[in-house]
Amino acid sequence: MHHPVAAEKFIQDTPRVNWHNKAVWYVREKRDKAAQDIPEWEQLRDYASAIKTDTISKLDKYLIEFEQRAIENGIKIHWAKDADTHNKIVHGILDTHQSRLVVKSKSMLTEECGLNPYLEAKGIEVVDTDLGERVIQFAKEDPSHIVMPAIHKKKEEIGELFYEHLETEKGNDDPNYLTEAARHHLRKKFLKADAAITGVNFAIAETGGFVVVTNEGNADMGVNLTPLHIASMGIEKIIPKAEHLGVFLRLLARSATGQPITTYTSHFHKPREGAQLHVVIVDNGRSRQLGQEDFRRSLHCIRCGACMNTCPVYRRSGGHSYGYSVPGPIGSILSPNMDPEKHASLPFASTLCGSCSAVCPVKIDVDKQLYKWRQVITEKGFAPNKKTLTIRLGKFAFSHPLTFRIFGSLSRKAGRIFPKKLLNTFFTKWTTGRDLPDLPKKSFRDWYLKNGIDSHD
Amino acid sequence: MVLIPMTDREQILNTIGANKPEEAQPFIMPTVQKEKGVTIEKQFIQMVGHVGGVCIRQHSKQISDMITVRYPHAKKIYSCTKEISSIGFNSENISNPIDLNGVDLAVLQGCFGVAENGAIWISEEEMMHRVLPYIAEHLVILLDHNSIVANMHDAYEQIDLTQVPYGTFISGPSKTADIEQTLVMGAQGPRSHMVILTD
Repeated sequence: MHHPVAAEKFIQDTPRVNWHNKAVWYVREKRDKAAQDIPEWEQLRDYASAIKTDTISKLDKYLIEFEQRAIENGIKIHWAKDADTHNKIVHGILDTHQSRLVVKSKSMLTEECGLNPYLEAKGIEVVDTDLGERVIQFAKEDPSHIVMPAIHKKKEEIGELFYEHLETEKGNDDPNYLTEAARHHLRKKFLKADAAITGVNFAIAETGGFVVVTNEGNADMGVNLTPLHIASMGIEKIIPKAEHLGVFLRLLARSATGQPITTYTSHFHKPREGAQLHVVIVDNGRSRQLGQEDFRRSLHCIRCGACMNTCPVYRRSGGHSYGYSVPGPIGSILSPNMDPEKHASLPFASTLCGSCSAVCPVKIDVDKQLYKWRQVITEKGFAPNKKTLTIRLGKFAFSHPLTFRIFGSLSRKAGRIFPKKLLNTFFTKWTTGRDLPDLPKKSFRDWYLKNGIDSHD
Repeated sequence: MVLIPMTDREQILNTIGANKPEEAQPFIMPTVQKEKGVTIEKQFIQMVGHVGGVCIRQHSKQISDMITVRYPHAKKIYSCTKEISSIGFNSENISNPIDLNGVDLAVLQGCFGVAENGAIWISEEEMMHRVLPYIAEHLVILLDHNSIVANMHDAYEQIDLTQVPYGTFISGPSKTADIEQTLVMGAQGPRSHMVILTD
C-alpha cells in the first residue's frame, strides 16, 4: 500500500481529519501531564533504554533462561520462526483441546501474524474481547492504532454496528449504553469459551513468567474462566529481571494514555489448577532486524503508541493509511524489515520532526531510523519513481553550479510570467492545501555578490 | 549424509547468536530514596480516586456494617477476608469458575498498595479463585494502611514472583475509553472499586 494514496481517501473529509487529529492529540497531552508528574521521568527513560540495550545484546541467553524457568513453572513453550508457523502452532494446540470458541485479548503480534483469519478459516470462532477490537471486528476492519484500535470510529458508527450485531436501539450512540451492551454480549462469550489467547507485554527471564496489562480486565476474565491459555510473544518482549518491571510499568501506561498504571497488571507464572498455559515465542523477522546496526534499537519498543499520538502525519492520515499492523512512526521503521518493497512509502510518511523520538519511553531514535530507511529503500530501487527522479535532478543541479543558476533564473522568471494556479499543477502533492510562496526577484547569490562582502565590514 | 532439519528454536537462537551486537553492560538498578509515612498514604488515597475508585479509612469492626449500608442490593457476596463472611454463596461448592458469574460483590484482602498509582497487589492466595476480582459486579479491597509503598520500584521489592503462581496489580474499576475517548466504568469487570484502609 502506498501511503499517500491511502491517506488521500482519509483526508478528503476535512472535519473528520480535524476530529481525528484532536482526539489523538488529546492523548498526547494526557501523556505529557502524566510524565511531568514524575520528576525522575527522564532518568526512567534512560534506565529503560539501558535495560533494553542489555537485553537485545544477550537475547539468546535470556530467551533460554526464560524457557527453562517457564518449563519449571509448568508452562509449555513453543517456538515459531515466522507468522505461518505461529498460526499453525496455535491452531494445533486449540485443535488438541477441541476448542471451538476462543476469546482473545489485544495482541499486536497476532494481528501481525494474521491469526484471526487463519483460525476462522479452520472453523474456530474468534471473539476479540477488547471493546475497541470488538468494534473493528464487527466492522471487518483492522485496528488503526495499537492502543486504541477504534480511535478512527465515531460513536454514531459504533452505534450503528451494535444495532446491527447486538440489537441495540437504533440511533442510540451513548458510550455508556453501548459499553453496557458490549459487556453483556462479551460476558456470554467468556462463559462459553473453550480457550483464551492473549499477548505478552513483558516476559521475565529470571522468573519464567510474563505480564499482561489491560484496562478492561478482558485478558484476565478470558484466561481465568477457560481451561486453556495461549500467550503469543515476540522474542523482544523479554526483560532480564522482575525488578525491571518497576521501570517499564512506570513508563508504559503514562506514555500510552496518561494513566499512572493500567487497571490490571497481571503476572502469570504457573497455570491455574486444572488448566494449561502455553507460550509461543515468535521471531518473524525480529532476529534479522537485530543484525542491522542502524535499526536494531527498534526492538526496544514496548508498544505504547506515544509516537503515533504525537506524529503530525499519523494524526492527519489515520492508522489505516499505513497498511501495516503497527502504524505510525514505529510501524514505519518496523515494516520495511518485513518487506522493504511493500512498505517502501512508509519511511517517507514523516516530516522527520523528531517528536516521536522525544516521547519514546525507551528512547528509540525513530526519526533517525526513518531517515536511514529512506536511504536503504532508495538504494534498493523501491523508492517511488517521482521521488527518485526529483532527487536525481536535484543532485545534478546541486553539483553543477551553472545548471543550478540557469534553473534558478528560469524558475524565477516562470514565477513572474505564469499564474500560480498553473505552477501549482507541477507540484500537485505539495500544493494540496497550500500555495507556492512568492518567488524572489533575484537569487541569494546575486544579492550576496552585490551586498554580502560590503555588509561584512 | 543425513541432514537433520533445524527446529525453529535452533534457527531463532542461531540467528540471534549471529546477529546480536557486542554484549552491553547489565543494568544495575540504582537504589531510590524511599518515602514513608503520612505523605504516601495521602497520595495513595488521592490516586485511588484519580483512577476511578474510592478509598476510605475504617476500623475493622465497622467494616461489615458499612458494607451492608454501601451495598444494600448485594445479594451474593463472596469474601476472602476474616472481617466479612460470604453471603448467598457457599465457597466450597465452587469448583468451576463460571459459577462465580453473578457475584454482586467480592471482598478481598490486598497485600500492599502503591502510592504513585493507587494500585494494590493481590496474589492468587487472596483471590481464592483467579477470576473473582474480575467477574464480580463490585469489588472491595481491604488494605492495612501501613502496607503502602511509594512506587513500583518499592513494589517489586515486596514481591517474590517465583512464589506467586498468579498475581495482579489492580488500580480502579474495569474501564474503557474505546468509544470516542469517553471514559466508561465497568467495561467488563467490576463497575466500582472501593479500598478500605484498616488499622
